[in-house]
Amino acid sequence: MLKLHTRLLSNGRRLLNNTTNLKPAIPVISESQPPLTTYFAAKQFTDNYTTKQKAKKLRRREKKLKKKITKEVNILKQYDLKNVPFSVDPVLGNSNCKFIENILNKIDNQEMNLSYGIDRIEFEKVLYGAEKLSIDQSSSNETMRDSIKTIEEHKKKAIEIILNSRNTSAEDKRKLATKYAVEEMQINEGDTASPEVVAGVLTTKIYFMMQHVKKFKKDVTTRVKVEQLVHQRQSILKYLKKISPERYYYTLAKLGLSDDVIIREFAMSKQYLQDFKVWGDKQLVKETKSMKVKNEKVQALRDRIDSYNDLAKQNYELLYGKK
Amino acid sequence: MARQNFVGLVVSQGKMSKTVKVRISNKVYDNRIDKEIVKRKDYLVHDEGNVCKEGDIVRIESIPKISKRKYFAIAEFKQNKGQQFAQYEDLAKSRIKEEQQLFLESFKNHKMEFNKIITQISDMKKLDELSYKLRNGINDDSVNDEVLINEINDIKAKYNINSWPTTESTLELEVNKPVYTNEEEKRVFFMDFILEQLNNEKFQQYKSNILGGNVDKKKNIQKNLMRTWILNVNNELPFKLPE
Repeated sequence: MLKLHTRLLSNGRRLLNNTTNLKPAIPVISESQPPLTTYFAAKQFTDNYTTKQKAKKLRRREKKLKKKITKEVNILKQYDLKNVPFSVDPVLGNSNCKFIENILNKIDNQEMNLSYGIDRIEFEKVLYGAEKLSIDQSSSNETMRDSIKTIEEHKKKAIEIILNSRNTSAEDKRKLATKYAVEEMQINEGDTASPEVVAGVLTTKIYFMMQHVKKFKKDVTTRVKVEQLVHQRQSILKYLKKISPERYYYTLAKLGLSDDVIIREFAMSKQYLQDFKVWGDKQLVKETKSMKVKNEKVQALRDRIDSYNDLAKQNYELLYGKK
Repeated sequence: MARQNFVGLVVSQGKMSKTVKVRISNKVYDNRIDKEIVKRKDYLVHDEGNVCKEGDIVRIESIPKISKRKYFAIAEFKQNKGQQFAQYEDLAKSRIKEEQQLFLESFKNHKMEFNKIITQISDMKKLDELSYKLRNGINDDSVNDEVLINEINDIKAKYNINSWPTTESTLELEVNKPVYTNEEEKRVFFMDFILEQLNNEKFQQYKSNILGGNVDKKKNIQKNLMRTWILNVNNELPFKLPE
């Protein structure tokens, strides 16, 4: 009697609080039509002409097959749970992120700024003033005026070429990018050292260094430095998560990173360079014999389960019609 | 009898349906090392409705055994940190979309402002040229003096200029703007000058009044004390600051 009482309790037990918010994860389908699962692949069909003996045999086969399928599905599930890939690139972040793109657009924009941090509008104003002054100081002779004008025009062209961002050094570009990153990430005006700003500046640094690594494959030192910067960014963002999770998730979205990239371990290994195609589609890690066997096995398992799924769908349609 | 109760942290979620792993830690006294150590145990806990997220702190309660390893169910949320995190993630995405649009708008605005300045400069150049022609009587046969005067007046009206050439500034440079906007910023800007003045023999008395009993202290301490005094705007300086 007591046993029956406890058994009754075990079914459909609800939370003590928060009962209204509960929603079942899988939509409940009426009993006549069960949800489609892989186990339908094991279904053995019988008709009126099958003998008793045959039916028994088929039932036994179905049971056996179902067991096998359950085991295989679980093995693959466990394998996938253990080997989860990074959701985004742990170094460069999501490629859809606009953070770096916006900064590069600003640097290249000649109407906004020239190199060495010179403002374009100020530049135009100053040159106009200089031209006017030199004309006013000269005599009122028309030919002299024209010659001075042409000289000033040449000067302006020369300065524009010198100050064009295409002709400036990489260091100058990096400095401008840092400035813009600080402006983009700061909480209030004059903020230069909050975790968000540090993470933003590190991201720009990593971007420029990674461009270098892509070009020069043999430069190991820079690659190591990039790894250090990535770790630095990880640690400062971990700290930010502790003090203010809201700001943390905002920064992640801004820089195109994700939570798992910050929490999980990262090494600038050859495996990483191969996986994220830093140097194109090139094999860098040699597959060992044992790994090859293992990978082939996993692939074969995956193919088998796919075939089970197809078969299950066919059987399901035979039993209950199309969904 | 009350059911068995624990408070623990959700460490894994989403791997099994309607099941989470909850970590319970408690302190146990170890006789061999004579101190308390933390012991952990992980339970599989029933979560009807899949509401838990990693990072939540929950109270769990024992129930009749459901399966081989499952004999607890979630009773209450103590802290729903994990669920909050998921909320923040969604919030951030929408916020960044808005910011991207603002960025594009500011880009456009800057372009417009730049074009405005360029047209103003070209107009000024034209004004210079026309007024030069008028003054020196250099004129083509086809154009009258009146036409020139009208053109000059149009440009003058456009930029609110009374006479040309003027002594007033028509294009404001950023270099000419003052570095400070209020008294405090001004004092910060002229800090070296003020300290130098106060260290003169002229203001010996004044300095000793500021420092009070701290006259014999070290030079750097004296400087810091004077700095704090100067940065208080209510204290009047005995001399005028340069413009």
